[in-house]
Amino acid sequence: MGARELYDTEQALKLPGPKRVQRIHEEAQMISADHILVLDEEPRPTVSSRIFGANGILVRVLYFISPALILVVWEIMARLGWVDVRLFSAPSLILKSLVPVVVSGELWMHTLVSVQRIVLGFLVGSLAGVLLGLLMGLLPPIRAALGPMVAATFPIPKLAIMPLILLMFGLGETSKVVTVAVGVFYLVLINTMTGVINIDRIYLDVARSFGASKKDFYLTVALPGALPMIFAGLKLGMGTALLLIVAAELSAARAGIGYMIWRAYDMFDIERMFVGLIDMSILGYLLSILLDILERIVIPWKEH
Amino acid sequence: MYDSSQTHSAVENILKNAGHSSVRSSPDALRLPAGTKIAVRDISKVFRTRAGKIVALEHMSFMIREGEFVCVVGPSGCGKTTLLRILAGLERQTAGKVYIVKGDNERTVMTREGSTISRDSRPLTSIVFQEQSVFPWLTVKQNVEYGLRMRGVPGEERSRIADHYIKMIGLAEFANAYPHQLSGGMKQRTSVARAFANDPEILLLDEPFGALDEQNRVLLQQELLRIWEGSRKTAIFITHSIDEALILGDRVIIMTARPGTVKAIVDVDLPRPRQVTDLKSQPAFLDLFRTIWGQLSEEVLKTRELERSQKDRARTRRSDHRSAF
Repeated sequence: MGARELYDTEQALKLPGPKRVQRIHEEAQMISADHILVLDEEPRPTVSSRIFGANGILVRVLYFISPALILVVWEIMARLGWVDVRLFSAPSLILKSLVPVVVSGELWMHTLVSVQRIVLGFLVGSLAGVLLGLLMGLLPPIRAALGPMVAATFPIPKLAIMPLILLMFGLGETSKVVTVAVGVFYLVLINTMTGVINIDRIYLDVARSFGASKKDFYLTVALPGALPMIFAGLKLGMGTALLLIVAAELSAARAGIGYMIWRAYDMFDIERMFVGLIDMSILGYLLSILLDILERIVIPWKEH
Repeated sequence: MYDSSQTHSAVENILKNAGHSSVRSSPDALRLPAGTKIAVRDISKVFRTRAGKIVALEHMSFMIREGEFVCVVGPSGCGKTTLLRILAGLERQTAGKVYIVKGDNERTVMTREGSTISRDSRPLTSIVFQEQSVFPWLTVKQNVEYGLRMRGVPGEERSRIADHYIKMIGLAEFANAYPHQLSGGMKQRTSVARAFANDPEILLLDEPFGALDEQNRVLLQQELLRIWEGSRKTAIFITHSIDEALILGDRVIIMTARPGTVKAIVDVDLPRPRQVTDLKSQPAFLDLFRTIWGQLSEEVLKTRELERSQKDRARTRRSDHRSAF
């Protein structure tokens, strides 16, 4: 744009809107179509894209009906004799088996026993994990002293320690709680420690330049800064807790969902095994929602 | 408290040397010109890295008067931020001395029993950092209150002071919002308010508006001018923008390419109160701009030369490696 033209534009800008538009029109000239590239407006969505597209009706409908669809297919295949109902059962049979255990309260009893073990083990494991994780994250001597131990014992599958736990803590409730706690402990510990170590250095500088004491630093920077990672650890820990409870209830248990499933296995009661699985699935889902709600309350400052 | 051990981790060190507590008071009285606030005497800073020594600052000296607004410009990597971190007590110089004249903090405080004279806990410096530094887990108000809270200012007074500065930066409606709900400019305003609310004797600003867009930058410069002209605190403002240095500063310290030291100091005799928009069209402003650019451009070219030679050296090193295998 030349100086003269710029000056003109500035003059034009000082004028009210319509005059400026007029000026542009005045200067319009004919340009042959060969010299013009036209950028067209976006196409309107077609009927087929509205149905089959990435956000089409089909995708949305499938999302909701696919579980039902699979159940229907399963049922049909069972009725037609394409799958062996003695091994693979059928939705209708499972439902038939589900009703009595719900009505009799047996399922509730098993669920409550398992929930109690999970919650207790989870609390013990995560509390110990958070505390030790904070200490290891904040204090290098403690990190140096315990780090190798943690690194060496973490990869051991927690199921492999179960016999040892049974011997140490007996066949009662304690051994189940301890199994869950150990699994949760490692995940929470490692996440908490990582969370503390990875707090952005700038926040340490801010705390320091505003004269934060050691205690202030722990409470106003280290703990809140590590919270998102702590919750990531808790969520992972919950998954592990569900995994471990079933295994822990395999041996020397008198109740619990895991016990129910293993007992059904002994009795060759396929339907009851499925009832146990459905129960686990619902339980796991509810517990994860519970953790999400807790996270929203504890970390209101995080983008959700 | 003087801690010389270097064996602690970053976090440990930060806590051990919190703020200015590691600064030794000078053993005997010093002769300084009347009105001196900061005297930087021949300081150098050497960083030891795995790749070798990096001299960030070398024999740097200057003085800053009480109530003066000094801007520091220099090519990137010249040690501006290092200088500020030394003044803030976040880093310590390898050699040389920094003298900061402490204000007389005795004042009359009304208590229930009547008035008493007490030394208040007014901090020496507060810093506004270059990057996003407001705590994401605190609301705007809690962030602004942070320094006061650390100093043990009672809740009610804390709240009153914070509200005042939040209103001043125009975030009253966002007082209870968390940083993730704010734009970059609003976060930086919060950071400025946090430093001002702490009522330090010296305000240290490290390119606080560097990451902002032009429109927001002008608005914030205007706000900073307004707030500062109301308080007239000693302020040191690091920037890479000559415009910004001239708009805000009473004097501009031009630094050399690394190793950084003072290349020139320019007095900015533009009248106050200043208006950002008016200022830029004044002939005096343009003259000053040209003067500073003349000094600075040499250093920028030198920095480029330095970067090129470093790259060459790295390349030679790499090829040496290859031939060794």
